[in-house]
Amino acid sequence: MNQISSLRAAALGLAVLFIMSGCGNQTTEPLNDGGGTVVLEFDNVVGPQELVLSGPSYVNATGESFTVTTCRYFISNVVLHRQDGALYTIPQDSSYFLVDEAVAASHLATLSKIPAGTYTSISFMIGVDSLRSASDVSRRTGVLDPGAAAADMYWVWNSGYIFMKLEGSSPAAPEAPSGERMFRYHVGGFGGIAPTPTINNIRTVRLSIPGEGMKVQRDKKTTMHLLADIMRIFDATPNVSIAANPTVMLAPFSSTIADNYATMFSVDHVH
Amino acid sequence: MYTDRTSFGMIVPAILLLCCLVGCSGETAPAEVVDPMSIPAHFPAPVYDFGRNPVTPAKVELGRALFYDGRLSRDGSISCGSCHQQQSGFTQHGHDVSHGIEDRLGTRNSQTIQNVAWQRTFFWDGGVHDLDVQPLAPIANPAEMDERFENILERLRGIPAYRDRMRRAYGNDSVTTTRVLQALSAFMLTLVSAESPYDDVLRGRRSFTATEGRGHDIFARECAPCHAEPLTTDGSFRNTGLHPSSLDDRGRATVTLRPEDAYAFRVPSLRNVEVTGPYMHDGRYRTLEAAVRHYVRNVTDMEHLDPLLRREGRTGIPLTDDDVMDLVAFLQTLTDRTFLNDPRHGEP
Repeated sequence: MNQISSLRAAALGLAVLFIMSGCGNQTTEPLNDGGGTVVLEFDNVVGPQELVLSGPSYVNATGESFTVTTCRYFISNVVLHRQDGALYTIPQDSSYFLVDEAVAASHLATLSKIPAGTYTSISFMIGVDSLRSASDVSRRTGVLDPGAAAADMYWVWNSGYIFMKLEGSSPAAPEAPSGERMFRYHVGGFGGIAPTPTINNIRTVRLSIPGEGMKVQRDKKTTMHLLADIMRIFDATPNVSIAANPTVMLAPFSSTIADNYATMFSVDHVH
Repeated sequence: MYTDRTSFGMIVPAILLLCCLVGCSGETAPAEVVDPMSIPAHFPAPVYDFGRNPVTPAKVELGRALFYDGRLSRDGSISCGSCHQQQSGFTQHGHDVSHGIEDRLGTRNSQTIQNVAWQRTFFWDGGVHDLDVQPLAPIANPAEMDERFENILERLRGIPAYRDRMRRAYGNDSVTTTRVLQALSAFMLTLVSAESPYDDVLRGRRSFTATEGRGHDIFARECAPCHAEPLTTDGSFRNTGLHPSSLDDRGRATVTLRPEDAYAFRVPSLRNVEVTGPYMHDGRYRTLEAAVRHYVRNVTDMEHLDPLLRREGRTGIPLTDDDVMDLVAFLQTLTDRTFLNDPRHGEP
């Protein structure tokens, strides 16, 4: 009798465990009395201007003017660093975001149940970590679904996510038969899985939160306003010239672009 | 999925599947979990992780319907089976490179689909690391099926027969990327070729003829270092001295960006090789004999030529005409008529 009930309990426990591991939208984050909510607001800018798709021309340090038609990137594996040195790692299943300039709702990344306290910096990955990139397709739902939300951010012929996609037109780009002068930067590459090593363009950035830091209070919402300065893709060390590199996809030079965009984020303010 | 049906390995995936379905949908999973796959006793352990995608009859049925359905392409004209025909070992017979939608031409010869449970990487360059995401590539390729996966999901949602198949396979009729891909995997995983005369020899049911036996001796000595038995491939990528065509397909290097991988391509399985012509990644050799003779006299001396094809300053493998004939006779023992004619693998 006892044996049977303990078996049942074990079976129930197993079932609960499987439910949690089986459904991507449920996480095993620890209970912390609710905690607070932090909304990361990604604001794409070009130098001192707001980014407007298919809008005005911008001029990079090389002197090339360009417009932007597509701007998307993955943010993942968010970690908040508290003043007292403690780290809060957002449960991974809730820590993948695809920011698409064309989709306003995607500019907001909501982090819930954040332990109360004052946070002084934030770190995150630009791209998708290698483990998730290589994981079972059933673990890649939502923004990571390679057949739906991530379809335009996934290389099907060299399995892996495109971490950052910037496309636009520029007189500096070569003329296509259609008459268009397009530049296209598709940066990806998570390092590959044995026996197929590939380029590794995963970049992790840590940004300090200005002023007094970010106070998170139980049941309160705090918004962190981040700037992503697209111009840094061209104007960093080294400068990237559209004429010299109109199309960059899976190639060694993509790492230079990744290095550059790793410098484009900053925390503007918290409110 | 294992020959030992009582193994615990069968039960855990079944529980996992059941729990997920209960957890996500509130519906119960189909009770039947019968193993439609058999793992040949003379094969090594498979590399596919069956635990995450248990192969059930209902999932195989769904995957088979999808595999042969042209509605997975933009204009309804091309199914997976168009370029992967059972009678030709799931290749496109007679075509050097595959013909896709609107008769557009690809750049490579369509590969076999057989024994994929033992395959770690996919495509001639190995760019895809997981069977479950393999179908995304031909579906998206403008020269193959040229369709957005989301459109396929939407289309399938509107077809009652697919909603029924989804329900049978997964417990409810939700159509998702994961379900479509895992069902295609389930069907492809059942495409196991292990009933050829060669397999009969391995099982002790028959012997090689004299010429086949001589051919096997040559094969074991000269070919098996790459075409490892019994799967007839070691899954590696090698530069076999195929002179680059004007297309200049750099093969594996396009994926890894490593100079040493330039012009290296997958070592394909040679099972059913008699019916999978033309041969090589670009289908440049129309006959099996010509493909074998490549290694005798056509190997181009290239910077990253596989070391096994360079001996004492000479390229290629020294074989006499008789050796070539014996080798071809051996390769013909790899033709698995049972597999090529198995009605379970054909168009439903």
